[in-house]
Amino acid sequence: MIPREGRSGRGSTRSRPDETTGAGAPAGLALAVEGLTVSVQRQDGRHVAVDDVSFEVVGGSAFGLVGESGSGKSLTLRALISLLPPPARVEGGSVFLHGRRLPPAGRQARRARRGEMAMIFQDSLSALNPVQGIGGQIAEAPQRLLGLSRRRAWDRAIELLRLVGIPDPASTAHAYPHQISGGMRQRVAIAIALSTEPSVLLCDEPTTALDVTVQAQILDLLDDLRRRLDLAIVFVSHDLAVIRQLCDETAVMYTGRLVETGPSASVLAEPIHPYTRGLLAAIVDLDDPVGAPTPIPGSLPDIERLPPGCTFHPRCFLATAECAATVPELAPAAGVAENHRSACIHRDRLVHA
Amino acid sequence: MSAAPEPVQAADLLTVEEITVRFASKAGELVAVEGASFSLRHGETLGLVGESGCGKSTLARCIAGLLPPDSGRILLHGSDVTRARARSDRRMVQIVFQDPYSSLNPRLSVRSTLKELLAVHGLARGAAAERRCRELMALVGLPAGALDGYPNAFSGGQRQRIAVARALAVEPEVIVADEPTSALDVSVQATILALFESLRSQLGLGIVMISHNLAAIRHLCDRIAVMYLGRIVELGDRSEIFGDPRHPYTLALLAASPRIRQAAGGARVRLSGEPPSPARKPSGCHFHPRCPRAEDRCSIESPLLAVASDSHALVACHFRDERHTG
Amino acid sequence: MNAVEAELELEPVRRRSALWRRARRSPALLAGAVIIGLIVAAAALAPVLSPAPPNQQDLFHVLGGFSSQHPLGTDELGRDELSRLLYGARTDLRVGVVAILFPFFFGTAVGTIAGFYGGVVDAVTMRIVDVVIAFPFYVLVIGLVFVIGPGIRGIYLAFAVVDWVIYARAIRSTTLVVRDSDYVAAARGAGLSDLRVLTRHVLPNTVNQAIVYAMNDIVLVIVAVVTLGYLGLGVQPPTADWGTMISAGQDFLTTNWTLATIPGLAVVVTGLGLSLIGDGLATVLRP
Repeated sequence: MIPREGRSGRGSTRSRPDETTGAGAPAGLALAVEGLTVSVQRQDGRHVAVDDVSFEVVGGSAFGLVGESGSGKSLTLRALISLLPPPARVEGGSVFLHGRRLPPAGRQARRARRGEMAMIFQDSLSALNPVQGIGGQIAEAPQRLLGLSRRRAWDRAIELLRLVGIPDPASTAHAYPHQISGGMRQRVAIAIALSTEPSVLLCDEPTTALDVTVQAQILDLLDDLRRRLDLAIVFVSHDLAVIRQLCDETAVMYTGRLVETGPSASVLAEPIHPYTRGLLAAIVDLDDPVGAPTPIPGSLPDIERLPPGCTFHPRCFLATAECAATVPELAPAAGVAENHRSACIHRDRLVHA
Repeated sequence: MSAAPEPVQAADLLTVEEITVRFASKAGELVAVEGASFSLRHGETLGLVGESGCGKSTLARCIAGLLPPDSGRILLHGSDVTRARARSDRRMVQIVFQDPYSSLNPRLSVRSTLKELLAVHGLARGAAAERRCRELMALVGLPAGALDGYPNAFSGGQRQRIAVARALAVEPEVIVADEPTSALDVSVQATILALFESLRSQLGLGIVMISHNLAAIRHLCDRIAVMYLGRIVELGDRSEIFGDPRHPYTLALLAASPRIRQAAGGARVRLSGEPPSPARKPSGCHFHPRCPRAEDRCSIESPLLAVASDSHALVACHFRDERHTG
Repeated sequence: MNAVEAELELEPVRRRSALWRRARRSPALLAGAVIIGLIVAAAALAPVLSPAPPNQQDLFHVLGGFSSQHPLGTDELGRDELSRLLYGARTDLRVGVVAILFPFFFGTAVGTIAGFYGGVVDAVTMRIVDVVIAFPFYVLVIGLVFVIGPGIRGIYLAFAVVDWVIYARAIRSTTLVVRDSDYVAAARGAGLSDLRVLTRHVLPNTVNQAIVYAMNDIVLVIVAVVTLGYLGLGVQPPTADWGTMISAGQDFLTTNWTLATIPGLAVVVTGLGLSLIGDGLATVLRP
């Protein structure tokens, strides 16, 4: 195990957050996001792609961000780590790392996040430098950011390879990315991400391109790492089952807004938002295959032509006139735990429905 | 390698016998499919599941006549179409591809694509062709106006429907669907699965569905063939595969598939390592290096695909009679 | 496309742009079209716009400066410069376009067949292409023109022999990619004949490359004709052609520098226009 440098002065043993309520043991919030808003430049002007998103992640827990393509989940992650491509821009909101506010954009932003926040991507092949040895890629950040000597950085790289479950780390360190398999590459990407001992790990669909048995291994690895290293994980995926497997808390995104948040067990078993409900009804679960999947009527709107008020209302079976008038806020429903929230004015009707 | 294949029955639509496909690659000769056999009847849906390198896509292309096998036979209604397929034979098996963004000719309108097929096979011309095009659109749940469009005007789910319409245009009896929903959004996948179901019941088509999504397979398929590194390792009907799996790989696949209702319930069978490259397959039973049940015998003797006790399923494992559930 | 690209999609999938609309939005294509349009118009209207017949000599007014009768002056034989410029445009544009016709069609056909069928056909074809490409272009062209004799016919033949290889190679690469695409597999799997697959499914998706390249190739041909004219091997006198005008004007750079530079500018502007069209087309033709 890699000796922690005690950046935040926290101990490394932490009780696992309670499964059903999602409340963590009293500890500093690793990551807090408040009102994050991102806009995107299109032909006819700027449009909001991430709208007033707020959430918190405790160290040692995994937070899942679920949505379909175009929901804004990937842009949210990129905004957090300040890697937004030029057509996109942060319009407002704040990001706090261990209570310290981070600059939203620019070189200062990246400097503040360096070493503290890391990210892994869907395609491990393009995330790794094809012409640099694996050991070198892992050792690079510790050398430059932490000032370790070449020798020590290399040793650290080997340790990290072992930590992420690569058999024979010494020889893998001398190999190149194209020489190893997809699953191994994703482990290497995780090792690189962990090389500076970040407190937050952002994951953008890292298992989508992997075989299901390899995916299970990577999810197990992430689960193990977050406990051992006190890592706060933000995991983005379109796969509800994967999120259920790894994440303690889940937030569902639709057209850039959070529509439901809460403990994964509650959100995915007893949703109180029509979209979440629709999503769950539209997919086939392995353990409950008999029910015919019912698609959600209508289709995802373009961000240029979002419906007024609640953007889901044209497709919603509960919609009333009021729904088009106001943008609903995230709030708990009657008879449901305080931390399980839905952005639907009819949320109470969905409880135990 | 299989034992005697299931006997060819009169009602068999499609029979695949001991198909082997080899490729020459930089790493040497690669056997993508090794002696695969199964049969399919009208209105039956067979699922082909497996992970990368198992050969399911290669087998699919073979069945669809896009790739000639190196040995083995493919029979359509009992007649041998392995080597050469006449134009009329080609109509019988059509394929729907995985990526809706590259499976349609971007330069042809939907109408042109469909009419070309109708004309070439002498199925309809002129006004009759136009009528048929509209029927096809209705079958796949698209408005008639879609006929005027070009592929880049449609979303992934819509393109996939167009691809299905194209497959249906020549009035096939078997549709091979190669991961038809993996490139689509979650909520759209349901619509495509529903489409296949309705086609099966409306037209009595035989469907071979390839997917890595076990849940979709379980929902849609009557019978399932599990493949590993080119071989079919288990072949049985839905209740057998999901209720009483006998092959350790099938068990591992089921255990590894994430579920929504509970967090990874049941036995946590986790495979170590990854599927080896198809160019360097382990000896004997290809699965033995990763198999929790493996014994010495497994690295020497390849198990035959044979019936397991108390079951109709065919399992390629020396320990096929051991039960793991109940 | 990956998740981020999906969220940033610049053109919403539902709205389909007609080729025409897209063409209008490309500044390069518009600019190039305007330039070439003007040049073609000028060439077409040469009889109307020319102050005098291009080959008419007026030995009493040689090397005259700009005047109302001769807006761009006269050359060493008293011929009107403006008229020769306009008629020269006719010559050069015509030669440029005609010279690439055979290479375009032949090269595309060869490249398509080589790329689609592969194997021996591909190997043999590509070796021939390699051999031709290995020779310096102008050495071959000059050699051929020398053998056949100067004049426009020689230019056409020289280009026919030498220029097709570029098209063949480019089309072959694109064909290799298209050949493995799912829609071609679907077409073959549906029993369509090879000819139909090639003409309806492969070619329409590969030919764009050739068209874009052809635009730039016309420029190359014009420059080559100009160069050959400069060397006395191209268009023969008294036919007006920018190359011979530049060559002849060389001798008078110190006194009447416009005689050489104006045709030179014409070549540059034409080249620019065609390049812009090529660039614009490359963007617009992408599906």
